[in-house]
Amino acid sequence: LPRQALIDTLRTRIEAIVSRADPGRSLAFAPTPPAGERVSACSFSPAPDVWTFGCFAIDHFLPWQGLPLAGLHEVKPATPADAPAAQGLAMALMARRLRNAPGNMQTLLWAATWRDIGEGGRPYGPGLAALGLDPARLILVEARRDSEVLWALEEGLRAGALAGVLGGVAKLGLTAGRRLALAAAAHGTPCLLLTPAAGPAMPVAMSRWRVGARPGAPHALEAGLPACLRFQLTLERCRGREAGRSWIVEWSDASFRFRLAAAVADRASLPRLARRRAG
Amino acid sequence: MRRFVSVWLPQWPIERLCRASPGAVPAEAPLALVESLDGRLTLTALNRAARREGLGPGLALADARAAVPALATLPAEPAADLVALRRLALWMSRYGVRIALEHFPTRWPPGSSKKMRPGKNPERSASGDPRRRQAGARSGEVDTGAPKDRAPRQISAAIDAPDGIGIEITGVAHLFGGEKGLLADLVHRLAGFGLTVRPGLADTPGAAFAVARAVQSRRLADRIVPPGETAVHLAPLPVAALRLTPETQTLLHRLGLKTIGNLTGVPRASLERRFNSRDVTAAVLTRLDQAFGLAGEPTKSLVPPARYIARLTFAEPLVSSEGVMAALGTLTERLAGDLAEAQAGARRLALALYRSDGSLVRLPVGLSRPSREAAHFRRLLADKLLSVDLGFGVDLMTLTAPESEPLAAAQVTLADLTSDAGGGTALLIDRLASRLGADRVLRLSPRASHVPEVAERLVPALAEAAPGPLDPPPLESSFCARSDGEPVSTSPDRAESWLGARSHGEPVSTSPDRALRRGARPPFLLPHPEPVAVVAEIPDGPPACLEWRRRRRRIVRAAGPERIAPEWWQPLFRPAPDGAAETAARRLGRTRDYYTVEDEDGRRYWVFREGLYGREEGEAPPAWYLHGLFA
Repeated sequence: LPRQALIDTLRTRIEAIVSRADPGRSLAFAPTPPAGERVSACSFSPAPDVWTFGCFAIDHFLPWQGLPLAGLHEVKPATPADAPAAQGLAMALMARRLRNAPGNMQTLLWAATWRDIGEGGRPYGPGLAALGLDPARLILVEARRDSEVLWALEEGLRAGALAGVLGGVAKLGLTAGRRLALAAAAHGTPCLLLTPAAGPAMPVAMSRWRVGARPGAPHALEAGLPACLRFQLTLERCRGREAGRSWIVEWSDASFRFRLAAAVADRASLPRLARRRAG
Repeated sequence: MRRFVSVWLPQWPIERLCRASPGAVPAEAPLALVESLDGRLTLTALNRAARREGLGPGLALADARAAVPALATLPAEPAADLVALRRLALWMSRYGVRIALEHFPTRWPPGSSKKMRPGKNPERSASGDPRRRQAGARSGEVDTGAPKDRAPRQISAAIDAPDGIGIEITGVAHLFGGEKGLLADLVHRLAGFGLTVRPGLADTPGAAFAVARAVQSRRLADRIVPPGETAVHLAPLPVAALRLTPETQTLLHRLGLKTIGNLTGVPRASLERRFNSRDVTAAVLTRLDQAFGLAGEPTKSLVPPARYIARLTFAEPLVSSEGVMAALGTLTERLAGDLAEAQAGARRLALALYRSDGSLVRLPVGLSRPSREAAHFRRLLADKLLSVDLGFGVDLMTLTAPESEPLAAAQVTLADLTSDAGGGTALLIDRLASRLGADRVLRLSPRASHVPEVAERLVPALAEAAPGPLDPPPLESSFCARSDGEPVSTSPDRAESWLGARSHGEPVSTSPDRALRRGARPPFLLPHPEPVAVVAEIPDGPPACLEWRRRRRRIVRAAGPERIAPEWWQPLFRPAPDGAAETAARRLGRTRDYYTVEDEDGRRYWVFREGLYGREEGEAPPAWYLHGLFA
């Protein structure tokens, strides 16, 4: 085996062991704290009012050490062709939220228009199960228009009994966005909103992510097989942090979390560690 | 004691027409509705002016024209009559719990139609030709005693149509100040709509029917049979009032049994001997027993009778939505109170608005789990009420719970206040479903099938209240687990059924590629597989290049194939002639090879080739489809 593949395999195995021992925790492999920030080595568990990517580098870059639950977060594809990537990432992120949600909030609301369903498909149970999301926990709303999607999302936020809401709209007005943001903040229910690549930015979102697909790494055992899904994840807007930070992450099917893509974790994003080692 | 009202509308088709198009129908000129019957135009209904000229239903149009040259005619519309009568019957549900359309074998009175006159040869048929009698008994038909040469009678749809409404008013009359008050209110309102009304009120539907049709007096007191006095009041009425077919009536007339009193005077045993057929006897005795309440008469109500009803009448019709909303508040409180008393919760609600012009608006609402929260009812119904046209005003509102379930009172604990035990999700589903429609708020439910689109079922979230145990036993981790050579687990974990992935904590495996080897499933599935153009290096191999939605993508990685054979135990769909249906139908009939492919940009698709080269090329060459999206 090539060395890289061996390390990959070992990492996955360790992740699996850790998450089996304590499902609430996730082990962060990227050992570099973001520049200028001191993070104690044992801060595994996220704060109760956030949910995380499970990726140390991203979670600790965010001012809240994760994504705040009481807020609206916007996910945009990098190009129109990346829309499936954006919705896949959003679903995976919601799967993480659902896994760590308290026992009395175990339902996820998903809403989309028929047009978007025809375009990007509708959630498929067996595939969701592979993301670590129990399909029985999902309520699907198939709407005719954007306005119905927004109404359903807002109702879901106001219900206060959901783990989160996830929806996609083709166009979003300022007022509608503000309503969603207020409802999410008031009821402490997270809202992920998928908006088109070209649409205007929404100032009320707590964070805005731009998602693009990235070629996956060659498979550990056979180069011709697809391995983990990879995304280019750019933080376009975030209160209290400068925008434009970008990561290449991959989704781990085994531990149901994001992690920095291996090549990046080893080299590009570890200048300090490398320097320390060298010196 | 149960009480029934029968409302006969003798002039229904004509009066309905007058009501539907007031300008089109002359008020004073003779008018008749005609229908083609036995190849000639026949009158089915006439207005008052025409009747005054001596015409009657059943007359041929040519004869009628000869007598009254100025007769105007319009085609009869039995279907529209029936629809309108049903609508009126629904509106009449304000008077009682069960309503049904009343159907008479022929128009009453029987002599009004020429075709229904008795045969010319009574002696012959009374004794009966033995051969014919036997034949009739064998074939189960009533021996009519009619002459042999008579043409087979064609029953007119218009003449045979329902022309009355039966209502059970048990326990309702006091709301109208007694039975007389109820009947007076009913007649007053219907007369206000321009209808001729002949009501009857008695202990049984049969007796009420007879009174409505056969009592000549217009006084309401004569049309109400006091409880227990059915026999006295029914005795002078003609036998035809018992809802007998014309043939049976003819027979009874020949036997000299003209009134119901005559019939009850004859011992039952001897009746059977007088009739030449057991069926006739059975028909007569059944009708007689039904009229006197000795035999039950099951009827199907137009609207299912609800166990829990709250109603509110208004002296002045409500025309503003504020007023209706306020009334809704009162109704929901009352219904919730009734439900709480009975320890029940509603699964369905129906709000009925009776408008003063005789129409009815029904707003049904479903609930995902039994509830008796007035505030919740109000929110659900208020959404729908906003879009209702109140017309000329609403003078009665009822809120019913057509379906309810036992719901014990629950002690609310402090923990419940913060948890979902309060049913936040269920309330949300109710709200979403009542606004968007129950078929658009869905849950995913697994199904034991290898065919990907069949393996998942979308069920209305309203029906499937909460994720409970699986209804179909899962087909286990199907082919996936087996391909790993692992023992097939029989864990009852719900997520197991979704292709072996575990939902909580446990990672499925320690090797990341296992998901691919066991046949990955995409998180998003297209509603219909979309045809794609594919270039493959070898016919049986994975695609090298894929054209989907007019974009060409070069494939750099592929996993597969995962072969999914058609379910041979399911009936095969025959190819339909038209394109789309054809591919969809044939799809179940051919083997699919699924591949997970990734293009050079890292976008991952789930594609399949339908059909095997060399084996399944019979109808068309194998074709490629894109079925799902990973990212």
